[in-house]
Amino acid sequence: MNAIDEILKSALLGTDKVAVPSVTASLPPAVQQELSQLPSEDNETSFLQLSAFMLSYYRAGQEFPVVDIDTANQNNSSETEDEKYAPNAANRLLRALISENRYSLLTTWLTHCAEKLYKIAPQYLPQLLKLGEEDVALQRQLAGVMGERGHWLASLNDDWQVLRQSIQEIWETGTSRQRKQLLKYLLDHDRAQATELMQGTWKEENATDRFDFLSVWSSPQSAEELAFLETLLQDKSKKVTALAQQLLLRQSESKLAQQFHQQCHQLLTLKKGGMLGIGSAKIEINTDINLTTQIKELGLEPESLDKAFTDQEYQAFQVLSLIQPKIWEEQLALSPEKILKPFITDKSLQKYLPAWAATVAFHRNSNWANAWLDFVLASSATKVLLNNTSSLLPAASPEVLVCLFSDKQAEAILSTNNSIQLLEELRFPWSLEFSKAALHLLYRNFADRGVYHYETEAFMRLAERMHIKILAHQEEFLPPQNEKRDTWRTMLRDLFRTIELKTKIPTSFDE
Amino acid sequence: MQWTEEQILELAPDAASVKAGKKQANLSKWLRLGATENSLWGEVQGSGSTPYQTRIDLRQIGYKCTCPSRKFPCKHAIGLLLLRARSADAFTETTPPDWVADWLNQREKREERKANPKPVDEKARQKRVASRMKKIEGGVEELQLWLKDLVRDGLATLPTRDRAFWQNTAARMVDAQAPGLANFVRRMGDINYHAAGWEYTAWQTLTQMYLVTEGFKQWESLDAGVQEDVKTALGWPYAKDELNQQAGVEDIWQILGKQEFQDERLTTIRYWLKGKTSECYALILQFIAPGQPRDTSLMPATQLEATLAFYPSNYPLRAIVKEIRQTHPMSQPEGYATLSEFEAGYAQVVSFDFQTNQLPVVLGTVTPRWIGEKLLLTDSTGKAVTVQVTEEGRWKMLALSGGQPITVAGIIENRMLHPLGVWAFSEYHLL
Repeated sequence: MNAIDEILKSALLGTDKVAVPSVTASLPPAVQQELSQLPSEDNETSFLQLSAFMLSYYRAGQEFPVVDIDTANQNNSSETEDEKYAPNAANRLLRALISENRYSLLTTWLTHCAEKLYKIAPQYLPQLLKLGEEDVALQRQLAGVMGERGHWLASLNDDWQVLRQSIQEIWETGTSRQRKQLLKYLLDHDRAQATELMQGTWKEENATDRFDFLSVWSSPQSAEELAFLETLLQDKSKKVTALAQQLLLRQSESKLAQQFHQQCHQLLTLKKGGMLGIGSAKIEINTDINLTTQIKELGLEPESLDKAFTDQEYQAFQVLSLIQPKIWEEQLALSPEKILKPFITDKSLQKYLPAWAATVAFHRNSNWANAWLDFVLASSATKVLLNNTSSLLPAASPEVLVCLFSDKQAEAILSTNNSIQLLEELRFPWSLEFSKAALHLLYRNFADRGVYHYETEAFMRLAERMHIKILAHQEEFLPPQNEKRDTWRTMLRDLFRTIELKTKIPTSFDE
Repeated sequence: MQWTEEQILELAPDAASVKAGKKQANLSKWLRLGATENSLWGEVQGSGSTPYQTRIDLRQIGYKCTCPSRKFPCKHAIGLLLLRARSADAFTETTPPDWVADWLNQREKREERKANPKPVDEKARQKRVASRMKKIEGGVEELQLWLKDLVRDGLATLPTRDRAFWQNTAARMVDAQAPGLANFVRRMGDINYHAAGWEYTAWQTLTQMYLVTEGFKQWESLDAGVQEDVKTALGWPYAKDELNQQAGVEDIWQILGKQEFQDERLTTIRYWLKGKTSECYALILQFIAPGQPRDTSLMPATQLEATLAFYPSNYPLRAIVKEIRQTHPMSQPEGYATLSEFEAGYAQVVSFDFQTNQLPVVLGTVTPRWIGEKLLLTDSTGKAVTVQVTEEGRWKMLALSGGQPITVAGIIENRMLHPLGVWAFSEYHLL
């Protein structure tokens, strides 16, 4: 036991119970000499004097330990970087993106960094690696630009090991969530690899993963992919089979879709009107045809769940909502407007409108979506029509949507509850005109009530879509001076700041 | 000099000001913007009929704005600095208007006055000292009896002591005009008696208290420097004017970092500085009561051309800023090459100053290593010091080093290093 331990032991017990320790033997002669000269009145004073002396002696003599670095740490240092770090302007921008939580722009920043063959400056690596912990797409981007320094850093943290793994390794050893995210990322960047990975391990996957992967993969884009999808009709899992059926129905060239149409083509008929059939023709739903086989095969409801429909009508409704609308154009030799019109105007057919909305949205048919919106924009738009419009907006063309956004009907379709989410689904490149129309719509919806906290992240993501020239039009979306509307003003400024930063990203790497 | 947004936002008095300041960093809000090497100015449209005039002195950081805000710096000053960092090109004016030039002149004159303070009334001071010494004498006697009682009963009884036990003794020391002794007592009460190693901390604090009281009793036999340390430990106040009478130490002072502590009564900020030429370290304390504006003239990761006046001590560390002439970008701090070199310096400081527990240090070439879930800094001889740092700071330090030697500035306390910043890639990075 060393001198300090002796003193501490006595200090804990107290001089009432133990004597002041004699520690001189373990000390150098000169120190012993000094200690022997201390006067002592009583035990407590002796102890305090000894402590005072020993405290300075002990502190002054403290040394740091020596560690055996080579055996303690195999992975000592990072390899030397061959490539340059991002220039200062790009770093300043990155710092702003991180400190202002504008994470939606990180992808753009990292893409430019990779394109210009730069690496991330080391001081930003920890924050970015941390942000990438739950986001495989971000991880893949980071892996390309984090350089040797990033690889070395990731090797020191269990949560960042995934950044050092190859795509194959993540697919083989990752969690379900990571693999699903990876598949999604690869579908955007390397579809062939995504399909190869998914098909390669398909038989070993459990039903939940098979269903999840198929949901992400969704639409086949080649004859081989279509053939693979068709094999899934024999999958052991009912959920997977049902999903495969749905996906195949969207593909006009699939056997299932062709067969389905063949079996159901009599569902809609054109009945000649008037005496001798020379009046205007009338579209009718043929509920007499037997759809039992199709209903059973597709796992649809044989019995009506809605009082407005008989069982046969309900079966017809479900089948109609799955058949590609363009098939009716060919079969009935009528335009979408002509086919839709009786379903809007004829009260007996109106109950089938939701089925039309579903199939237009399901097959993403732009002509039909535009035709539908033309009816919406007409002053006679009915409540049923309006109520079923929002789902097919992603299929409509930008020009028609611009008209809709500035129309009074827009409020009934795009409310505060769904407008941000619906705008996010519009994935075509936004023109300046479209961006302005979208922002005017948001202004009408949110200027009064403000954007709630839980909506802000999605609201800010819209900056990614906005045309950069909208920066010159900020004033148009500010409320008049006499109206406070502070929350809207703040959100708008924030949105424009994000757009402004987005515009600066490409040039920041030119330094 | 170019400030980063992080540095600018550090100046904001609270989180609300950070948010409000960011909102003001919008070009459309500013009617005019101008800048010289040493100043910034702008006119911003506020809620009043006339625009607010905001001006910033960059030499010796200072702000003035005609807005009615009580916050300091106000959101307009923060916004103006952010704008400068983001869009320097927008500052088109280069000649300061009168309302900027006059203000800068006034500040310069005030600094000159500060540098030449009024002489102290020596007679009145002597009288105050004598009266205080008498009161402290009583407090010291009482505290020594209290310490002996603790030693007699043993420190093992301390964890069972209630709050009143510490508070009552501390209050009596305040009455005896020895607030420094009261702080020692409070520190003993604040020890975490559930944490490993509390015994050493309690013994060390108790011993330091004894040394102060004994030092006071043997006042006459002490060296002048040690007398000052005893006075400081007792909580002897020093008038700023007294300190300002010193010639001070003129140097380029590198602001290595700051530590901020909050208790229910006030915020304490500790700024740690190092002189480039003098190689002295300095500690500048700021105490901020709720609602009181912060002095934002010290910005970590910059260096000041300034004169500091040190509190008298055997090892002068605590100081005040006597005069600031110019703020510059930070350059590489120089420090000990090995931990052994630091040990020798530390031993010397401990022999000078019995009460210092925190020592600033710059370690010139140390390598951060993540070994066994511990961050260590090792020198070329294999000696290592454990680093106590946030998770974010730890990874930042490792990322900046890449496992190679770097320069680290920090505080050594209880043989652990609390890092303040790192010099890497020709830049000082705060941790």
